[in-house]
Amino acid sequence: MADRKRVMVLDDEPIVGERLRPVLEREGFEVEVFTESEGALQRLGETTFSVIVTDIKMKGPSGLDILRFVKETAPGTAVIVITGYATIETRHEAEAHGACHFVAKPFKMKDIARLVAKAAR
Amino acid sequence: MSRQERAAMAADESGAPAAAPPHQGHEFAEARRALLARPRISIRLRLAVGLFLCFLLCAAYAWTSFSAGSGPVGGSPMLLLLVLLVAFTVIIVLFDRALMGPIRRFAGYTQRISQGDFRPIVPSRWYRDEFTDLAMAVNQMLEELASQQRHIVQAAKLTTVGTLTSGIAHELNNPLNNIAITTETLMEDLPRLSDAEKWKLLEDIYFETERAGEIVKSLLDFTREERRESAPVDLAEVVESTRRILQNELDLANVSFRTRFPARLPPVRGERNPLRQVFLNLFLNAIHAMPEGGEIEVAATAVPGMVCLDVRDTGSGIPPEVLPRIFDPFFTTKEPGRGTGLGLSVTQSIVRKHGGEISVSSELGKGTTFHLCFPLAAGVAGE
Repeated sequence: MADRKRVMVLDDEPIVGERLRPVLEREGFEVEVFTESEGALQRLGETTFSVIVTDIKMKGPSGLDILRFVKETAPGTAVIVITGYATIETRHEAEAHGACHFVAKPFKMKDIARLVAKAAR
Repeated sequence: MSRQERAAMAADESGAPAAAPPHQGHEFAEARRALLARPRISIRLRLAVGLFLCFLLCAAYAWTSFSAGSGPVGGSPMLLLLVLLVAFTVIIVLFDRALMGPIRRFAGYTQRISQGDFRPIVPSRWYRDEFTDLAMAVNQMLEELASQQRHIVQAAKLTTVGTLTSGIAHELNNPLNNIAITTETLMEDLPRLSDAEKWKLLEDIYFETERAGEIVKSLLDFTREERRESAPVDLAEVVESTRRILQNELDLANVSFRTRFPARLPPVRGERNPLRQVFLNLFLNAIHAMPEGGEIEVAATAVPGMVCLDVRDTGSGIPPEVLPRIFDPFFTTKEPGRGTGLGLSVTQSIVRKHGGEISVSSELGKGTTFHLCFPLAAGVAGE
């Protein structure tokens, strides 16, 4: 299927990508998993994704840096923020930068899959 | 002689060890027992005996001069006058020693107490008198001060923990999330998974649970009021365990952490948790001084009788007008609600309680270095 929509999962916790990948692939997405934001930024410079699922607090550029970069270079890409650091402030900040969903950890993968499917439409 | 030297002399005179282990309750009880064990020769008694002797000598002089029959300028009354003068001089010198000696010693005590050394006063003479009563009153005050100091240290520690909590909550959410989604995978896909895949998922859950447990343990270890027992402590281990508590903060602030320790660092004498608090405060301050990221370096050296550490950051530095005040209690440059101003004051008091010293040097725009020195644990001092 050449027209499968591309989804990026970025989280410095390797287990998040490992578990989300099969779930999202079953939903029909082409999934790329990153555990370092540097590598993800480089990849974002090369290609566009339909949806990005990203953590906020990471070594190097943060999820909000990724969000800003994506909104400048590919405004059509939907960004879902997942974070263990869920405060009202981070939520407002993420939404102000154009995140379409803000999900606190621990999350249900079903919810993420549903939100990704919704955002990809 | 400087006040410090006098203070040091007074401390030596009192027979207390140069490197004080942190205060313990029984220290005070022992000091009290020792002070009370001396025979009491009060100043009042000595004064009475002295005056009585003077009276006797005066009476003898009067009697001799009149009984000589040749007026007060006879030969033997002159000798007695000389004896009287010598006796007066001896009595004055003795009183000077009885009063001025202890007063000077007490001046030394106040000096060391003001520097945060709350060790009790122990006997320095074979008898006791009114100054002993004063020493016991001062010891009672010191016991109170030491106990209040412990409360302040504990309060400051909990404040520090408070600032760490949000970071730790984040850190805890990660293993929790990993456990939750791995369990979800198992529940959803159980019939489809091979035994090896199931095993891998269960292993993930197992290790993530351990990881969450470690995070909680590191926080509890730090907040626990441990029994105050001083023991030989490896400062390299203290620095490393403090770094572990702070790893999340370091990562988020983009601060790299480096240590330069010699292969074998001799142990110092002290308590692990208060020492962790020393480094926690220094590292947290360093992180706050580097909002754009930077580097913390801890370099240790063993010098004769001491272990010295430099904690260096590449932060904004401390303005020279602020530098002399940073160890003052309640002094803070942080905005209201961000800092209590107790961090460095408590840090300094912990270091001093371990018989150590802390100083600071800073250059605006380049960074700040805290220099710490701790005396070695007994038994390794010769190394």
